[in-house]
Amino acid sequence: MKIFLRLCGPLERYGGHGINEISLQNSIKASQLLSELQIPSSLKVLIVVNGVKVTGDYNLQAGDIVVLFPPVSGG
Amino acid sequence: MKGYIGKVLRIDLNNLTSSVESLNLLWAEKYIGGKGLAMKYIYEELPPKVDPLSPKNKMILMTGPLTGTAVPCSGKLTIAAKSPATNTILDCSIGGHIAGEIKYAGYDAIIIEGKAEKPVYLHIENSKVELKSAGNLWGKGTHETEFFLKATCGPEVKVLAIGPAGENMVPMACITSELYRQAGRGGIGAVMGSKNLKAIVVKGTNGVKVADPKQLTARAKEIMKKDTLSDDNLWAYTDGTPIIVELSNSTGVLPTRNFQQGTFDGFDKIHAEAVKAVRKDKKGCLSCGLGCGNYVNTGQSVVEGPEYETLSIGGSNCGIDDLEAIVEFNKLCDDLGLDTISTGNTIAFAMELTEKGIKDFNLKFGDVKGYLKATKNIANKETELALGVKGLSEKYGGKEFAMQVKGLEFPGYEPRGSWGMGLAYATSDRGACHTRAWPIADEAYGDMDPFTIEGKAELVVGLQHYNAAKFSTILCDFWALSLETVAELLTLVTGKQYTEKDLKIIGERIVNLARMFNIREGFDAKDDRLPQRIYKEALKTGATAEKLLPEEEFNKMLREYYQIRGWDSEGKPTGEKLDELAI
Amino acid sequence: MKLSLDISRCIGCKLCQIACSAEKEGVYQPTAARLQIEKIYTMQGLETKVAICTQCLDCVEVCPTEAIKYENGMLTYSEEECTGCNECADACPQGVIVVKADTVGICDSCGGSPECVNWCPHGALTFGCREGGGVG
Ligand code: SF4
Ligand code: SF4
Repeated sequence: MKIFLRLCGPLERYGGHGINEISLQNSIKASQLLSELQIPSSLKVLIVVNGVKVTGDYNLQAGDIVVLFPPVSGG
Repeated sequence: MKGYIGKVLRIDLNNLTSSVESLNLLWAEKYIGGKGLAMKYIYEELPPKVDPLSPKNKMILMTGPLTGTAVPCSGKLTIAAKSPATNTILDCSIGGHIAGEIKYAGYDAIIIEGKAEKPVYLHIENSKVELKSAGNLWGKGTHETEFFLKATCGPEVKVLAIGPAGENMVPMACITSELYRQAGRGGIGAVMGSKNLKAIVVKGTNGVKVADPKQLTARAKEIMKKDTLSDDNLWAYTDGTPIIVELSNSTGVLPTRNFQQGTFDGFDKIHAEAVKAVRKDKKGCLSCGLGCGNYVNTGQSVVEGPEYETLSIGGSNCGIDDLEAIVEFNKLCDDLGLDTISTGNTIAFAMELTEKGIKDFNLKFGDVKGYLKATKNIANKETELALGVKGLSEKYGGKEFAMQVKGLEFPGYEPRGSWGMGLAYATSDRGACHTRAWPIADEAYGDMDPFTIEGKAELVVGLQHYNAAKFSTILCDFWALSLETVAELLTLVTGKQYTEKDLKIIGERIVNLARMFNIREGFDAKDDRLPQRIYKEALKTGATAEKLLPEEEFNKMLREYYQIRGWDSEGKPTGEKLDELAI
Repeated sequence: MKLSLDISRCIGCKLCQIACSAEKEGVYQPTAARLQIEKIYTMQGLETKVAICTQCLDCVEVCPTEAIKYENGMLTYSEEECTGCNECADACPQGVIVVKADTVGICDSCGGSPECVNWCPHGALTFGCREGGGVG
């Protein structure tokens, strides 16, 4: 199945700029995607799927648009 | 103690004289510098109930022990006074290079009192201090003022200036430096204007000495590479605050149409990618490797910005999805000397008053022309919008949706989508403010449940202490560092041993001192509340659809907050608390 | 070997100057640094003003006592031989020679590992044999 991934800010270093199409063998959890991208687990990443915030337990579905945000501070 | 110069420059505008005195080091030990120390001076030197726009109010520019050193992100300056917008104590933080310059000129602080008979500007070059006529600059924008002063006093000087809004004492007037950096909130620019002080020009060529320069330089370098320039902070460099637009929209906390909604259809026209598409360059403050400033050029207009607050409050909250228009609004505000948060809110409020038929200001959500015109009119005090949201609501009604606390308009975070944020607005020392505590990072943007009061009082209390300590050293808000690291750096700079625990106590002391000031001015528990819209009106879209923050829940959270703080039910610090904190 | 600055990467933080003054003078004082880099708004917009040693060797040439020498691609300076005449500072087209009480401060590339380069957070300042060196 295919999903679409966009990494924000400094997270681009884990997978490039813009929207990337990613092929997955089978459905995985969002947290597994993060570790496959080698994003350190100590980093508090916010996961948004199809415009809605989800937890790492979310099971990715074909066609999902995943956006990952780095932690921010201080507004 | 090292790190401090040990000197305060006092300017008496009544008599156009200046004097130099020792910094009160006993106070510095208890309040560090920046926010805390400036507040201590304000608390001790202002008689109760002074009119903020009278000569009796004072304006204090305060650096901190870290200012001017190799510590990363230490380039901020505190400017404090009693606020004309809220009548509370007020401290603002401004970036750029002015803070370091004041210290290199040989002062920890500058205290400005009285009122000049005619417009003047203050020119400081190390120990040479002069007050010069600013008659030719009065009425000019901050940009022209800064260019003129650099041409007159030398290209290397650093400048703080007000625009027409400050001169006209508009309660949302700010102070500008390097064209696009602001001490924004609470009408600090109006205080400067009330003193007939158009600008402050500083050139400093001395150095800052610290207790252990070798060790500090080595540690600061290490910390900068490993901690400052890490994935936790680099968003400030890669994107800057516009990154928050999409984050807020996805979590339903992006203020839209005067806080009627938490999501905005046109969010992707004003988010980080849109800003980066017109970005030409980056700029940082003194000693900051993060360089959050985006220098953009839309073809129509240039600005260093727009920051998230401007994109949200001056964008989605006014129903505007036209980035070019927001950039123009931003530039106008910077040049005229207006805070974009309060100005954007006031325009949005007037738009809703018009929409609801309460009072016709001939303004509509999304109307770019009207919005830009209103901005100019506010600065020139040619419209009643110059009253601000609270003033307008008192005159025409609409108090339920007048998005302000204690007279200060809401920043760009919807409290119905992060209940702790509601508490942070209600209890902040200067009215609705996001820089006293930013619990939304843990709520909507983090993994805490945003729609519960559970754990929020404790969270907000802790964050208020953390920020008070951080803003007193002074470090930039955007660097998420631990208090342990702050303590280590502070120890190397001052030679006095600081621990994380010491900083928490100092933070708590500062919060309580600010509270005591506000109580002296007549504030109490009934002022710690939010507009009815937050309690009664459910949001309609996105992640916050059907959400509100019920009043009973809010009250419970507030009571718990007072309890944790050791304040009585009126929100007053108890005698024991004050003794414990040695206030 | 000389310093070069990639303007497009510079954010104007002055950490390079702060680091230079700390290393050379033991104090944090940008004006005492042996380079000056400033991002400044002018009527034309955001501009970067740069003064770094270009190794033009004018100072070496004018120095009457050979206190300043050019060796192994770097400048060296001997305080003992310096008479404090300031001829070098007057001759330096970049204005990066710091005038002190009876001596001067010369950019000696910190002996090959310049602190300004080590500090620069975004690799804007580099040190090496880049053709032309200077500002780009
Ligand atoms: S210090 Fe100045 S005069 Fe000497 S080599 Fe460098 S740029 Fe030329
Ligand atoms: S340290 Fe680097 S980014 Fe900062 S001013 Fe110097 S050259 Fe520019």
